[in-house]
Amino acid sequence: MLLNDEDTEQKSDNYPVEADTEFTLDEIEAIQNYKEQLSKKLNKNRSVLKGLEVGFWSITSYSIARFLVLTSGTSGVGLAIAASFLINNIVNRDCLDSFNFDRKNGEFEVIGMGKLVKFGFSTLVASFVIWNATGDLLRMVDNSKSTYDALQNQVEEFNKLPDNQQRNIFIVGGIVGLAGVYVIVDSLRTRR
Amino acid sequence: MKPQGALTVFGVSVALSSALFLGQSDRPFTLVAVRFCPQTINNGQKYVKSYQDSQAELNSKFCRYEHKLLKEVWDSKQFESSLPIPETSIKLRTIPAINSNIGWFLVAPVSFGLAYLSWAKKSERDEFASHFELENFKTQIKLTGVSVRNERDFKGTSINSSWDSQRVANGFLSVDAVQDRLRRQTELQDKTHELALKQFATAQSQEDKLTSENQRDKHKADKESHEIRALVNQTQSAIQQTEKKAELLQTLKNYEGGWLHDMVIGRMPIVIYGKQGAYKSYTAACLALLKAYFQDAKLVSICDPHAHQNQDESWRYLIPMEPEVYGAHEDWEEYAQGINDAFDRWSDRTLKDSPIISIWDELTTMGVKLPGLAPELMPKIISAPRKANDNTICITHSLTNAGLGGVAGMSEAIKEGTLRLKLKANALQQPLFKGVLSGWVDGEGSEIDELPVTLPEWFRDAEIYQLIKD
Repeated sequence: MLLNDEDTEQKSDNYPVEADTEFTLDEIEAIQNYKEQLSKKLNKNRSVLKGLEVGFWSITSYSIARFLVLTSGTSGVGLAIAASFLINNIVNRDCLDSFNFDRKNGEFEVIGMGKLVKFGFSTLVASFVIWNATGDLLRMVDNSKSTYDALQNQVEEFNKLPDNQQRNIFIVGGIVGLAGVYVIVDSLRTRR
Repeated sequence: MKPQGALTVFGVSVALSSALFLGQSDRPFTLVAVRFCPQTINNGQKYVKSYQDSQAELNSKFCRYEHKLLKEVWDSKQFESSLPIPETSIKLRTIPAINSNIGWFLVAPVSFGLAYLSWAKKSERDEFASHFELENFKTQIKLTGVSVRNERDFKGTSINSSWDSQRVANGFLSVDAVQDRLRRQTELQDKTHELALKQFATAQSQEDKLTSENQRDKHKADKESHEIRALVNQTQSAIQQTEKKAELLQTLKNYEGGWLHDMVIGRMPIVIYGKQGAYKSYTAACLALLKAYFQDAKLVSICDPHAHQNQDESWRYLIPMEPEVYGAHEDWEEYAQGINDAFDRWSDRTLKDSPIISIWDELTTMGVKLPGLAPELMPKIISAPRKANDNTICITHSLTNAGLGGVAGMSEAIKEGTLRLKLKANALQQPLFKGVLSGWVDGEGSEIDELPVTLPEWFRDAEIYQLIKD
């Protein structure tokens, strides 16, 4: 931070500002160039550190989710999702706090929209992580249920009579029924 | 690469390989393979096929197909279904999971965390190192710059000198001219030096002047500030005094009908009498203190033949008021002088003069020791002091003619013109702080004789002195 901000000394009210040694204009230019080079290096360090932080939380989410799924099966899926979103919230806790939607002087004012968008993206990433950790199990569960249902249908199908026998029984039964009706109607007419 | 950087790369590699490769498995979950294999009931009966043929037909139709599903789903479905698939008609094969080392999923976050911490440490060190690097760079720049500038000046001067020598050698410039230029340069430098010294001296004197003026202003401001503060303190003190005085006065008024108040504020001569040890002198001292406080009266005289004994006892708080003390060591001539001085005072003073207090002790003995002068005192006390604005307090052992200085035929005048407080003592000559008051007129105008009174607990010379001393 020391080299990143040129006005650090002026901004730090707690510390008195002290003038540096005198330099010529050429010397000042050389010093500033040198300082910029150093700042670039430090900024690179900070970027990598930020990336490592994001990577750490991502891999932690994935590992915990995968661990839970492998050890607990389907009952671990809920916990895995909860753990991932919880970590996402912990990592981005400042984003939602910073977001503020207010009405001032008759105009709506939105503060911290950028951080809200960042939170949205990180939630999307968390969703991908969750899908990678639990997706295969969920797919297999779905397929297995379909397979079981198909198997059960097959068993029920087998236990029924064949279709052609069912048709014969229906025809014979219909004829016998009609004959019975005829006999009853005929006997009633004969009595008169 | 620095150790922290290497550790970071190592940590990230371990974490990624743990999570994405070492912890993974081709078949992470246990499966079951189910085949539906119903048994035929044909057993060579009439009009049906043989058992073997029928069973072969059924197997061909159903049993050759194997259905794979998650064991967990199979178990739960079989448990939940009201009509589960009969175990007798199926062939079940469990396909166990290929064990993955799930411990790697715990290694991965730890490893990545270590990588992060390593990089953070590296960043921190780089921050420090960059600062030092920048400061070193500035130092080098400064050193180089100073050196190079000096070198340039030196070389320039050398070249100028060389060319001057050339000019002299070739006759373009005379030696005298060079020396003259040198002399003028030296002279100019000297003048410049002198001027600089004078400028410094001027600046210094201006600073001195400014300092003196500031000190003067400061003293002036301090003085004004002190005056204002003193005035404020004085005002506050006066307000406090007034409040305190009013409070004490109210206390006196409220005490037993206000007889103490009337004795303190009124100018009627007071005669205190009683046995030895009845607290007479102390009561006189208390009354004198209160009169001095409320009337702003000055205690001018104490006539007491035992003043040398009483000055550290009953008069201890009165002596600082610097009264004239007459008659100490039983010096009756001096006592007589006190009487004469009082007579002079009473004849000179008027009501317009500021109030005073005089105390007369041992009137009983006075009548014996000063037979010529003593009988004149009591009539004077009854008549003169009021007009001279004098508060007289007399102390005696008895309220008889002898006890009042051998005066004769004054009983009625004394009764009308004095407040008489008789104080009581016990057999051991110790005060009872009780007494009888005569000659007092209450708030309704009724003259009250022989009113039993008590001295309040705070009516002690030391306590009254503490109350009024500020």
